[in-house]
Amino acid sequence: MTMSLTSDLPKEFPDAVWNAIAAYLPQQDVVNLALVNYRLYVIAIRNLYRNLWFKKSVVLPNCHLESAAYWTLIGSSSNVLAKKELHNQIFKARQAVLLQSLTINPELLIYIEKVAIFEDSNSDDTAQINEKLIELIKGNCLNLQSFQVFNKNRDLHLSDRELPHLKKLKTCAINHLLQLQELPTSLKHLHVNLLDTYKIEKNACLETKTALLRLYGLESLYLSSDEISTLTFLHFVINDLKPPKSKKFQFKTLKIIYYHGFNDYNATLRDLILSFIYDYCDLSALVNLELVLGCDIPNCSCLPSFSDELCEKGKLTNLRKLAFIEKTEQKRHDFVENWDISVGRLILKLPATPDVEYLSIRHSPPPDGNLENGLEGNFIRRKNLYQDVLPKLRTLRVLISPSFFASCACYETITSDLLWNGCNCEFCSKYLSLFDEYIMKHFYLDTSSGLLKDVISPRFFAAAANSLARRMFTPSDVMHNASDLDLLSFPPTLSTWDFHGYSYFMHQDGYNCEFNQSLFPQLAKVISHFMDDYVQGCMKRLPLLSFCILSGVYFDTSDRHSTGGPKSLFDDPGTKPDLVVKDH
Amino acid sequence: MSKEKKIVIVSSDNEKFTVDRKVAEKSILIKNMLEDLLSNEDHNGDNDDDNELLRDAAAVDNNDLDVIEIPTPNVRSTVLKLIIEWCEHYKDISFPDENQDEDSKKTPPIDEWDKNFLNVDQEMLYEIILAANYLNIRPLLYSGCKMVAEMIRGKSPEEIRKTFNIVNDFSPEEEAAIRRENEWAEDR
Repeated sequence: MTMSLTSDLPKEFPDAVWNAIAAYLPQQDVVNLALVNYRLYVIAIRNLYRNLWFKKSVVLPNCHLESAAYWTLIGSSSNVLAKKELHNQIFKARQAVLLQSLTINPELLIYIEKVAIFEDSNSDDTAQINEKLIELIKGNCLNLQSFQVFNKNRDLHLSDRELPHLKKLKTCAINHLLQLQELPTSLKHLHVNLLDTYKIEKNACLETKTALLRLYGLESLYLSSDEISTLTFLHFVINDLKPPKSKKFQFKTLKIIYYHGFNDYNATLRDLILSFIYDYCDLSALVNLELVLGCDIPNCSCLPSFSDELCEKGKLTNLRKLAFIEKTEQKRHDFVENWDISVGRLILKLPATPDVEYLSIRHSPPPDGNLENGLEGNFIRRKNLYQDVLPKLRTLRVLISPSFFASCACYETITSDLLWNGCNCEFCSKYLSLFDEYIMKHFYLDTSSGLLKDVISPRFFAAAANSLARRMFTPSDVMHNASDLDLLSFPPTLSTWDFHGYSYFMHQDGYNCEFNQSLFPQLAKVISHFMDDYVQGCMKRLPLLSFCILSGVYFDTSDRHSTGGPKSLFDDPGTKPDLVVKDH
Repeated sequence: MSKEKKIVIVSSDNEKFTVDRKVAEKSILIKNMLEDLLSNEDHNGDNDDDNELLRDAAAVDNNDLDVIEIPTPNVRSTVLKLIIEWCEHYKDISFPDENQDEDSKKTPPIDEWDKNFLNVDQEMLYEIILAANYLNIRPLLYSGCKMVAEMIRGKSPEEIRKTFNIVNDFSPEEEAAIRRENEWAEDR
């Protein structure tokens, strides 16, 4: 930009303009803006306190996604080499200072509109959330619109006492049925993750009329992938609330689970689900659909039947966002291929009219990459399947697969090919040989046999894939109220691996091991180069694709002219992200 | 309305720009004005207009010249020319409706073209922002705001003051108190 004499015009900007500017600033810059003068202080703190999220991490450096400016993170240290203790200390200190600020200046409480609390699935993290701070927020932030806890600590959730006072609340989760009658009328998006299922029988005093009214007022219903929770909730809705079949729920967003488990143990739940979606919901109103799907019975055809029935009966003509989550206990290729076929079938049978713009597919590959029958031919079959199916979604703009690289890691030929015959660029040539040395010098504990074994490429890359994927919602978050429909709502956070410990990786005695977190960005870059080909393939088949995220690696795919290829946003330090990166 | 009218936007220094309705309607202010005007005309204009601009525009229109003149009293011709260029470029693109869900609101489509378009001197950028705000052209306003945000990124409070010619009105004590208040959010 050409520099000119300093202008006085910014002083004339109305507050709305300054507000819009502040909304594009990352956290530290908003903190700095607050110190400029009183007028900008007032604007800055509104932005700083508006949307708070708690996660013991930091946003990926140079993140220009709008979601990074949207949320203010109460996180940990940005030093990648910091020890766990330091991260814990900083995380706790930040919360203590925030509590102090909110206590000294209670006016700040009215600025808080959204709160999201993440659990670190790797530790006993729940104890690290400052409950006093959360109590203060829940009890005093009258402008609270969204309160989300991706966490099983029930004390953090909104209680029956707090719910009725939050007159502007639009999004929250309930953890027992009694809360249904306490929901404010403003509520639009409800996550149901019941923890106190055993108490239900005694809830005779529940105001069924009010509860049903609240359900009818909802735009979004997210039923937990926890089967007991969903069973209890649906049983209650259908049998106790007795909604008339003539007046169907008009949800715009729905998350449901359809899982066929061993010995058919969950037949009742599946019947309830089918009855709920076909008899009580108007599926043609659906704009966003998230399906937790799975069938662990050999030679069973329930999933393809489910797909067919959903497309036939559902008339899903308004769908814009779709998310699939695989639920399985099996570790065999044929099960996941069957799952892919059912998902593909559903996509192919969707009515021609809907303009699906967003697709997320989350598989559940074994965390150690040890999939039975992980042969190259099988991998190619799965790849071909998606190559054939995805072009059906001509209007797709966003494609996300949090588990993509973890799935690749299940096929040894693919990861060995990556390691030994992979990308030929100067960077990869240098680092791939280094990772080859890592593999030669390290062991891991094979939990199934109890033996120490040599690390092989699938184990190594599976661990890397899992660390990368933790930049976004983890499977645990998705179990606890997070939705894969909202994967773009939060910016990616830093997640590294020190090349040890995870799945009991350890080096040989006497080996002077220098592998630690500082090498993880290089590993991520090597992996992003591997995935580049796949992203290019998607770009060829999907003309509108502008954003693709595979295993936490973000690709901007909007530029089809100047460079012609996907641009890795965070994992290719050579390419600095542009001024503006499209969020969805 | 019976037939397509010619739309002329007039800058503060009285320069006239003739544009297609589609182009003019990128400005929500003008769009609403035209809708009111044309529906009033269909109803013989017996509604009371409380909008001064609308009355001005209507006055010209009453000459039956099939021309609607829209004055923009605080936009200079050089700025207006650029704004119209932007509207021409995006005339066939529909931006997400403000009433749509949050997802779309978070994505004002901005691309390389906007970045190049806004690669002007600071004074002009600020004028474009003020004009886009006045004319209610949100995607352009947001693109401009992103450019200004980029100018703030990584700067200290003192550097921000210098960039925007802002005087520090805090006492050292107040500054220290604000620093303490927001310390929880600082990079560490």
